[in-house]
Amino acid sequence: MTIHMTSSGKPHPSVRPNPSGKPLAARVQCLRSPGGIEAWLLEDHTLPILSMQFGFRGGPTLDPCGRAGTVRMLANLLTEGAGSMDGGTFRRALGDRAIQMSFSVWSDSLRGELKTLARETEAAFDLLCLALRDPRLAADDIVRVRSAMEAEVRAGLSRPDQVVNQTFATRGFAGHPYGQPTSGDLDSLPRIEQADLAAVQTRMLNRNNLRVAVVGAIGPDDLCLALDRVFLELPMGAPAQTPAIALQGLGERIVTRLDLPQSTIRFGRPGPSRKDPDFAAATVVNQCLGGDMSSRLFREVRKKRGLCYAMGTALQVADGASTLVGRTATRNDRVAEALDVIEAELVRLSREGLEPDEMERSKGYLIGSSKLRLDSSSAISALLLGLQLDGRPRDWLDTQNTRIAAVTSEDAGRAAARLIGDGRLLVAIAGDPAVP
Amino acid sequence: MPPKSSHLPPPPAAAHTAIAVSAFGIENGMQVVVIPDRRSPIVTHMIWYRNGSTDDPPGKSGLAHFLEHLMFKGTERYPAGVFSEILASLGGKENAFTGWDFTAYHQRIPNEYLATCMAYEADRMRNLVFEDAVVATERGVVLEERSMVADANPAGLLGEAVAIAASPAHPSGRPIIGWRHEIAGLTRADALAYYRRFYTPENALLVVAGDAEPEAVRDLAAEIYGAIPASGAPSARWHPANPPSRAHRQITLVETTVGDPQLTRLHQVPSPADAAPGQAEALEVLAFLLGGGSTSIFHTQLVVAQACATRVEASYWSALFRGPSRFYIQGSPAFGTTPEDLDRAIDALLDALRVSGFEASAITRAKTQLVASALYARDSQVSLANWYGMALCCGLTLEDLATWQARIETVDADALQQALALLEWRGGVSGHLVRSRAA
Repeated sequence: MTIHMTSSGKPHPSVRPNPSGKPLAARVQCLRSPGGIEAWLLEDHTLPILSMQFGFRGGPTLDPCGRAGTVRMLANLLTEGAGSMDGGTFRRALGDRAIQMSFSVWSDSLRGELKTLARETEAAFDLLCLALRDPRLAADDIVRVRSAMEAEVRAGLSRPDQVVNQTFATRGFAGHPYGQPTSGDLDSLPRIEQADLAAVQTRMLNRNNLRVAVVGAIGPDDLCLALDRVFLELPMGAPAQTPAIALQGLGERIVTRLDLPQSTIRFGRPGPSRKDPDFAAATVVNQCLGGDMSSRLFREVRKKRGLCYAMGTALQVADGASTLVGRTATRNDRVAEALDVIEAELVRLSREGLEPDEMERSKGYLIGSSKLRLDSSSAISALLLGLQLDGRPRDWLDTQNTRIAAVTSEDAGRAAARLIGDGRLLVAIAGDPAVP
Repeated sequence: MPPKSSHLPPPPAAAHTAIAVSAFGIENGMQVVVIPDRRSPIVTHMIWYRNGSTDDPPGKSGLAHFLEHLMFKGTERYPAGVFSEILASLGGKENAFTGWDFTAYHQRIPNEYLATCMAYEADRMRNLVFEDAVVATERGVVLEERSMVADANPAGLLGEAVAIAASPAHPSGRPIIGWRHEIAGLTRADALAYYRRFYTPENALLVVAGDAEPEAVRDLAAEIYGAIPASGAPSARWHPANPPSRAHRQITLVETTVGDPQLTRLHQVPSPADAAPGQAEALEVLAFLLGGGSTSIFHTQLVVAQACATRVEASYWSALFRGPSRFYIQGSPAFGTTPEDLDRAIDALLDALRVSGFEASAITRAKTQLVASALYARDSQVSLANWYGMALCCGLTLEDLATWQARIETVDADALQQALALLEWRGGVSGHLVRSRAA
């Protein structure tokens, strides 16, 4: 059999290029409602649906001292009834119209998504307005939501992934809100009272902290009216600010003993902040180190030695910290070997920098794959919201691609040396490892 | 790779207005489905093989999944890693997954590179190179994967025990990843024989979703995949049926590492391809009514009113099986309540519903949400490609998919009662995950 095809990745002439191939930024409108609420809109009438994502800066960094989990509990309570509607009535009102309203907690924000059929847009906005302005926060709902959160915490104590993530954060960000569990723990959850929830609601759900992104079947005029209806009566408030911190505990290995055949591992070092001139270069370096299945760590630890199934690294960039975090899991008796391989690869990367071809491949991947994130309304609205919360401009994706394309071997070498530094890692392990 | 082998999400349901799907075959017997979505210049290219862990030979569970890993180990034309590097440099992503009745390989790429992916998949359909050393290393990777999903995960282990109890004869009761002792014995010869048997154009389904013209896809597929000779129809498969069960089975896993007790209850029910007319649709609505989110009966009765659970969900695994399928009820008992108490409370509630029936407004609400969630799912080309691939591999037709919404809307109180009868206590398997006191 012969297959006459290029494998060089040349475009095939019979697949024509996208007719509406304008860059995303050119299709996004930045709106300001009569009342002064700002939002980014990508108007698209392909399907009769709408996805609105919004975020309030602050998130769990605003948890009161000793009451970790307050913001998440508030998020869970926002669909438990509002105004004169109890939780059941409120959720039936959503369900009857197939409106989906959900809230999630990120490291520096509380985010929400409202998804609705175009024909129910008005009702959807009304219900959201009620949920944000006048949530019931009723005593019996608090009791129930708290016990569900406690159950999740208890379940998490046996999940090595959750255990190791928390150990890593507790040590790495000791004394900082990032070190606290966003879901709370068995000490903090019982302490959270209605007054704490109401205080956080007032402190965070304000117009100064608000960012909004909308994708779907709505025009700018209708959206501006809706923005005022939903958000205008929120207080102006004070903007939330996360203090800066760099990952601590480098050189330490922290083991949490769990009676399991496999050890789950996190390792990390401080990374560059969003504004660092080497940020783009560090992104390329991370991609080569552990960003995908062609990366050095994946090749050395999994493909060559079969030590693990999962292996990857990522730059986790939040408002107050940037961290290179790696994750893997391996047999208890081979933890030492896996860590040796990882550390040796870090040292090699820091000394030798990147090979030209792996660097070009990684740049190609980062630039090309940025488009793949734009494949659904929810994905696009999440991206547009994330850019706003991170303080990025609308065309950031395009300009970041230009910056990545411009990264030279010298830039990458410098960024690798800065990222790896002396090579010391904070390592957290959950399992029953033989050595460390 | 990392292949998500078990725990595939339930498929999104289908259409609101008709989806403009094109379907055709090419000469060697391969079937092609094109799902256009012109919003972004991206395509999803998926090759589905209509075989999965159900077809693992006796004593060799995990073979379908093991082969899925080996499919990334290279051909003569594309030695190991070469295609991944080409794809990465173009900004594409790839992965694969194994189910009970399908194995799928997929790439997402800027649309001008569709042919690049086709050339690669066509090549590895017949020309995979197997080296003993690679087979041995990859077996280690799969054993680590098994540790992650099962051996180091009490809920995963309990899930395996419940599934095999519910399906003692039909091979879909075995875990996709395979039993540890059987994975350890898989050889190069096993993988090669399995590959030659199932990786053929007649057994394959191509799904292309995204910014591509159906005509262009047809031309490319005929040129690239059409070059593979037909290999004769895949051999008919026969699997033993499970015996009828009149005994309730209860399985308890007690571990010191259990953080929170859990209940998993499994009832074997027909898959859509196997079901009587209207039965699968009723099961779908029933799952939503009972345990689909916070307006569900389980949530309002067990979590809010009785406060005996912090979470109870129900799910019908509709498009994951060609043979017998699964209906799950899973929950976390409230603090101080045991899985057994929760199991009994659920059963009492199901009994009460057999008498009282369902509120008309609740039925309407469930149907509205199911139909809308199908529309929401159309927002994602990946969801659509997955849904078509799974459903077609599990014995459904494009006609079945096109009429899904209409059939959901006809589900009535009688059909729901008949579906409820499939969840009788005596036919089910209850799994209780309990924390051991001794530490």
